[in-house]
Amino acid sequence: MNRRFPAAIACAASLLWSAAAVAGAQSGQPQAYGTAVSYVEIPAVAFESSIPVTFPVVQGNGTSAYVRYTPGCGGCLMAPLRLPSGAKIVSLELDAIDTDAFDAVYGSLVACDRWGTNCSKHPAAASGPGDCALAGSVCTGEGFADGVTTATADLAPDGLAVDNTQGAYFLTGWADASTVALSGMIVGYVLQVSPAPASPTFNDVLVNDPAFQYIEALVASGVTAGCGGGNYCPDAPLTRRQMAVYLAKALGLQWP
Amino acid sequence: MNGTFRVGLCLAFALTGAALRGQELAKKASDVRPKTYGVAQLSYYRMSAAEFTLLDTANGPAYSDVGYSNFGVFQRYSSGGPAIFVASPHLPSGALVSYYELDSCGEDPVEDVFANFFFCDNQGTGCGNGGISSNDNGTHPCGFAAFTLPEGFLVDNYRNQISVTVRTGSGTSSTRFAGVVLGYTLSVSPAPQFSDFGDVSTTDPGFQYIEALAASGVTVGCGNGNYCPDAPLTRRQMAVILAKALGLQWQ
Repeated sequence: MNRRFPAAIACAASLLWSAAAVAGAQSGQPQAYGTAVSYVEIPAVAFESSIPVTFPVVQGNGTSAYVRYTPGCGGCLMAPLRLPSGAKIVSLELDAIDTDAFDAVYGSLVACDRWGTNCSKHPAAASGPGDCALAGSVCTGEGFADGVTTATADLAPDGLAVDNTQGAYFLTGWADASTVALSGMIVGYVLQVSPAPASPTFNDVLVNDPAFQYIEALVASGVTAGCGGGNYCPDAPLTRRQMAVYLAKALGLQWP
Repeated sequence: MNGTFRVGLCLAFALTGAALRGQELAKKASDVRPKTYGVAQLSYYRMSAAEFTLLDTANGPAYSDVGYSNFGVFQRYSSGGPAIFVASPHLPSGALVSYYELDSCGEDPVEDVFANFFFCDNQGTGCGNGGISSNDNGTHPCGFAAFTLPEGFLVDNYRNQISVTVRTGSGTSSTRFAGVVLGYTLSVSPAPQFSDFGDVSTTDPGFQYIEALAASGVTVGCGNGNYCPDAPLTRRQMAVILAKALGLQWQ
């Protein structure tokens, strides 16, 4: 049995997530900050055929939204996923239309090397028929028509940590007949602070300091150089001037 | 940027780029801890081949069937002959691009894959060439070529548009590309000519940053036309400023 939300919850969640997904989802900047879950919507229009000449993408049978399928080619729908390094992907949602009594719609999260020659599917995501048996798979029901439907997979706690220096990340969709179509996918992720280094930068912030990891992250980001003399002065009050320097440097303010 | 400067940059790219190829670059890339914010180190922005559009279809359509067995990942080329693909990166204004990498597969010993970094005005005219990255790794199946831009290129979405073009040779799958990576750091807007606050002079060490905060709508100062730069930040003020700056918290 698939791990799927009850319809009412899924509907409510979709509405909330739609509101949260900001336009410009592929902008490369996070849609939200902090270490709680943020969501990015990858709409159907972002999915192309990986074999466009042989298996072109076809607009699906939706009436009010962009939905797509690739006739004759399962797994051909693809969209690049662009998240900042350090983001950890923790959930995957598949929105689909499935009016086929046997076939289903599948979605996968794929991580590749920088040339796309060595790829691996996240173990908790479905890539084709049969994978629905996997816990946390993302697919509509195999063997019956779901209609307009949503499937979700929880990839936490391990998740998939994004590192743009090492490779590329994709979403793939499997919808290969006119009776099924992909409406879009929603990726949930959290931002993360870099792990603490082995040795401290400052004399007064040692590795056992409760803020060690965070102070080191600020230093490595060029946001602070400490208070002089090799110290950070962690217990000194922050002036409004210091705050302005920190925040402007951290966020790259203010460019029109 | 004026023309002379562009020419100078191109020469500098050509000289520094060659030195950064190969293993040294691979080590560099893996040594950098992934990060996204701040004004130090590089953040990396990857443009997949899937985002690139074929500029001229005279030589046939864009193919991307290589790697299909590996989940159909995009590696693009054109079937009929040399092809030029184009895409625009979406980087924030103020991003200073200083690293530029082409990930491609050039199994043809003669034909190469090239990538160009262009910056244009809003009308898409008067484009300057910011650098050329070429993967001429011969018979090696896949590799990458990287350039550093010593002066950097400052993204200004209000006044310019940026595009990256990739040229694949020969018109067969033996020269194809998988993507382009841009490395950038964030930067703070230059200080304005005059101060907005009576107690923050233009020589104040925090002037540029306080002005950036004010211009972003994060703070309006402490009242009476002042900012109170030496006053301690209260936890209440911190909460207001951080929530406004980051647009917290939408779920």
